[in-house]
Amino acid sequence: MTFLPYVVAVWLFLAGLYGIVTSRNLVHQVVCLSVVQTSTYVVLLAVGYRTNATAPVFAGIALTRPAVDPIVQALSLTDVVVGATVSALLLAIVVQVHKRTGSLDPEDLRDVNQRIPQ
Amino acid sequence: MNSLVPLPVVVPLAAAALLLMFGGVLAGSVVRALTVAATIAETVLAGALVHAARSGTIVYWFGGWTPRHGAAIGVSFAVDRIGAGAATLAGVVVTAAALSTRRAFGERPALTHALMLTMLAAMAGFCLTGDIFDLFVFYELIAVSAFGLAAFDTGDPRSLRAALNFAITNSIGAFLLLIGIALLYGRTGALNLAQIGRQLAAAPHTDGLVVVAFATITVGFLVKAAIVPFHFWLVDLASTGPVPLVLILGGALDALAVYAIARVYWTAFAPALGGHEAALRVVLLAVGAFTALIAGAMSLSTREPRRVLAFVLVSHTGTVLVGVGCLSALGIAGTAIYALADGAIKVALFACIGMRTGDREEVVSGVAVTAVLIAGGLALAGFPLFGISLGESVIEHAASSTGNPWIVPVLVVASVLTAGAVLRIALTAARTRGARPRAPELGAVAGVLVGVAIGARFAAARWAAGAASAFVASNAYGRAVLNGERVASPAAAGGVRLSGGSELLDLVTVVGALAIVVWLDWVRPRATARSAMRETTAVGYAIRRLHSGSLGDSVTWLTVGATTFAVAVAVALR
Repeated sequence: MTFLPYVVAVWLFLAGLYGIVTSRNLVHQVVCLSVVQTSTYVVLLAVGYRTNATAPVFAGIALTRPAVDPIVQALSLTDVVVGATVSALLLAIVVQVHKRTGSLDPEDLRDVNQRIPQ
Repeated sequence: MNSLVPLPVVVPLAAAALLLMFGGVLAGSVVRALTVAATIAETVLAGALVHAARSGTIVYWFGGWTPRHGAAIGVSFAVDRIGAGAATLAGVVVTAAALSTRRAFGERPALTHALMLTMLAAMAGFCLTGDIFDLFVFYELIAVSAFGLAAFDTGDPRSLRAALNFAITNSIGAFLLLIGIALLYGRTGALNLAQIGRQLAAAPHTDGLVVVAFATITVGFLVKAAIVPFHFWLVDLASTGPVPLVLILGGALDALAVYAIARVYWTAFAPALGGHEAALRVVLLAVGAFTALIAGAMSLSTREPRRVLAFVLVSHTGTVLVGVGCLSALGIAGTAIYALADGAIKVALFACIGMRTGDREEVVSGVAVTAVLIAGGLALAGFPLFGISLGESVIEHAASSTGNPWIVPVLVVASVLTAGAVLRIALTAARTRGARPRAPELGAVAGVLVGVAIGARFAAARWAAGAASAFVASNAYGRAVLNGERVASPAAAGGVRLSGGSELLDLVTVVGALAIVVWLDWVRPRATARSAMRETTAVGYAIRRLHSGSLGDSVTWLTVGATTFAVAVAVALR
């Protein structure tokens, strides 16, 4: 049992959040969201990992051979699908924003009368 | 009866597929008729499940993969009356939204209607499922359909910004939820809620991992429920997004997210965390009360009608969280009545205001609109005719009887604030002589919904107590799901009885709401001509700036809120 994958997951989650908060470019923000999501893949795969085990494909090997947990792999796959859908939708919205405003800076989207006075 | 269980999901999904296949050649009116037929069918099916589940939880295993030796190997729907009732509420709300789409999604209705139907199917699955990963997948299906609706064919950059904010914030919430699920799976090797509950209870003691899992899962749902400080996306979306989506969000979705917290707690965590119930209760009640008060105060800070309603929405989700946070059958019963009546009223209010929306300087007027707004305001104030008053007094009773009487004044103040805010809109509508609304069908929808809210007072109250007792019976749920036992639901005599609430408190709330309207709209404008100055005070400016729609602020507060909540849970469960 090692904590390293969980440390990596927390790091990825926080790094992605930092990117979303500070970014001044909408495309960059969407990519940062993907970074946040990467942490969930790491957690899922870490949960199902077993040392010295093989891939859970039992063709041509003994049924008693230890294998990593296939369920978390299925969960990760679902997660990847969700992530792809969300990214595609978000990028489509970003394209619309660029068409309407000609800008990719999130600050340009703030309510005009509530912007920070310069 | 058993084969009926998946139908509330299947029917809207099939209708959505039909729309996508033939939407190009069907006339708009046919598309709308098909959509409404499917949503009504879902409502009726879910209602039938409420009836069928009265004698115990109905368990349906997909593909016939029933548990072996008490271990779940398949995926199940586990339907009780609260879950089926939530699916019914979703059906009612989406029907109302589908009826109100004529102007919102003009020329090409097939795509948007397909999205709404997908959303309804996902909401039904969300309410009925007995599997925690299913819960996540349905959550994401709801969210992705909603993202699509939020950004659909809109020319307004503010509305696009709201859609972006909505999608990113909710996705972060979903990732938190998924991490919690992964940790639970790592500990228990199970995804079935009942089995997770058994495994956790069998462990000798609760450790840090369970605490982290509980915190991340709950925060994930709190983000979706738009609890303060996770509410920025909802305020933005409800004030600029398409009306039908806002109706669904306001009427059902936020309440469903809180429902999921209760479902996961009572099935998976209650057996293990039962010993820390009192401390956990204080945390949840504090979060709910904070939300109800802050958002209630914010609802009086603006005159833009949809923004006012957005804050009313957030405030009332706080009240729903208070009901669930009582962690008792009585609290669940009160929440069920409250959510049904309050959802219907909020949809009626949004439908009225949405009639004339489009740009920012909208004018709300007309006799029918004013009438619905006044009825809604009185309902929110706890006028005893409506279910909201009964639900709220049951929630207050539940909080007092579990050692937290401080909730009572909090909820009364929150009702006064939100009802006052709605009555102010009604007053503006009554004074304005604008064009009459051109949507008689919306007036009818609103009327029916007000009727639902009244009906909740009398009909839902009959079964809420028994349904809530069954909902919190973790052991009976586990035996029904994993051992296939047909467990009779515990008698409502198990301590849950609905008392009619105190008419005195209702009266205080109604008078208080009227007093706020009089004070803000008559007394103060005359007493001081400096009201324009008020806007420039530092605190007001800071709060308004927070709500200016910056994604960075929204995510920062999400991080702060999630961390604070996790620390509070850790302290409560130590």
